[in-house]
Amino acid sequence: MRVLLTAIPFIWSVICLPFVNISHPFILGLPFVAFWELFGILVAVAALHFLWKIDHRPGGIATKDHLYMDPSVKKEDIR
Amino acid sequence: MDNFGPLIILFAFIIGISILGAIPGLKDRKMSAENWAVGGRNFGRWLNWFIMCGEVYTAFAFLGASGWAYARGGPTFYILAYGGLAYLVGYHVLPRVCALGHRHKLVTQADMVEYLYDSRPLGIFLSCIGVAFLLPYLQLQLTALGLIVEVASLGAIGRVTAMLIAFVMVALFVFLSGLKGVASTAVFKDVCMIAAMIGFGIYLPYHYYGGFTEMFTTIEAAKPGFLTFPGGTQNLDVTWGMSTILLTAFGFYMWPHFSTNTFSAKDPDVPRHNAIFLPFAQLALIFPMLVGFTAVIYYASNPLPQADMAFLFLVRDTFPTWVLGILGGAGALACMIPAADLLLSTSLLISRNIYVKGFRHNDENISPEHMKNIARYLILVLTAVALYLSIFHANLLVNLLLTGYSGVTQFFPTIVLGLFWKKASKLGAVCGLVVGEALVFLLILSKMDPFPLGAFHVNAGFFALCMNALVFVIVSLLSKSGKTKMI
Repeated sequence: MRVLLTAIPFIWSVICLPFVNISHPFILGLPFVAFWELFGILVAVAALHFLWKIDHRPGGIATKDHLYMDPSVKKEDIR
Repeated sequence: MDNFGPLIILFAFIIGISILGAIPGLKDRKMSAENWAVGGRNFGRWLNWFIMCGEVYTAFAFLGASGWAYARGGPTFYILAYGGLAYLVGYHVLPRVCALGHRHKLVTQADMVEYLYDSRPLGIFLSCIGVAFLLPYLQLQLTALGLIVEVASLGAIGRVTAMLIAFVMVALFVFLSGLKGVASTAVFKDVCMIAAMIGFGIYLPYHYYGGFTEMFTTIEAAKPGFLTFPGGTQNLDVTWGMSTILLTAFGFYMWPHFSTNTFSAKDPDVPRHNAIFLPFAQLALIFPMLVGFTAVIYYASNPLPQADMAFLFLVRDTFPTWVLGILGGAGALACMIPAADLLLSTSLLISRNIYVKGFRHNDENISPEHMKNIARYLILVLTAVALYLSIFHANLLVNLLLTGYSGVTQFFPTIVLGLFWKKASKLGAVCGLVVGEALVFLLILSKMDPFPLGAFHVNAGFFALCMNALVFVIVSLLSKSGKTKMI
């Protein structure tokens, strides 16, 4: 799921670029390619929002932060 | 006297910001060199957000984006695309960087690489490359500040004098404030910048064309194909766009000063939180582009001497001169604050990673006073070098930025694979870096950027990054020892 959420904005902004490299139709007064890339920022924000939710669930990556920060915890003990 | 109106307003902005920036430094006169740089490692979410935001809204966003829109059209839109992606990369990488910094008391990016691969020479090598590519970025800020002073003086001050003034202003500002000063002034600067960009970005197209749609229809009719890749250029095609977006997305957080900013965060949730809220700031980058597009038709019969002046010239020719003063003031802050941050990080890299670790064998007895003095002298030297470059090797702002990006992005495999791939080895990191940087130097010096690949073009830095990663992975798999410590 984390991989998918990371991949979607890349697909939107990079992989789709050859197919959206057109000026018409204008959306919000902008050429289509500009609108597409601008909207891509919001796609990334949405993906980041869900990543945050996943990482802060019990057992998620963010709950292990203190282990990574603490010099007395050994590498082998972080699982 | 009338001619000096904009300049007076501009300097009022600068003096105000210098005083504001100096206050935190004066309160705490006994700051150690480490504190001066990472601010006590206790920056919370929003303070860190404003520092980072201050980095995104550099002079480049302001003048470079509008200049490119004016000169090249469609290819400018790559700037919109990479922001969101860069933060996504940062979301995964930075929490680990931050945690590692706390765990081992790291201050610079080179400290981190030195720790990961247990190799001081690699750390020193990395800092040398970092310094080499921070210089074009610094040059970008100085050049932009010089342009602003030049235009705001309404022709009374020439280019070289304007650059000298910019040099003095930046050096003074850094001497008066440390990273804390940068943080406290960044808030004010961000507000000024966003207001100026949105205000002019909406007003100018409406003033001249009656709306965005009308403006783009006019441009499309006058210059078919200008609004998409490759726009007004021959070689900035779609594949160039894709490779440049990827290069800048991966390279964004590889700037050495961003590592130092990440170490100053209180906990790994701070960079995560930043990643979610920074893209909103990126949305505003469309507005300077709109100003650039407005200039396309306005200056069609009478091209500007330098594309980066498009924003300033259009404002000068549209409004009374005091408006130019306010814009110049906001723009000057956008140059000085990032320049200060860049200078701090660069001088820290040199004094800590090259001087002390390289020449003084990491002598524990060097007094903090001595270190601080060294860092301050370095700031003068660095600004002088950037000044020399901007006077004698002038270049378009975006080109400067892309050169720096091509160079620092080569750190991506070294750092990210070193943090997340347990098979990454020291030898692999060295070989990858050498290959990547050698390609960047070769391709950029021989004007092979963008790099032609059949009928298409790719960003030379991206090509170098792919080769770098390939070499890194192969050599790492082959080497038996010198593996990364990861945490």
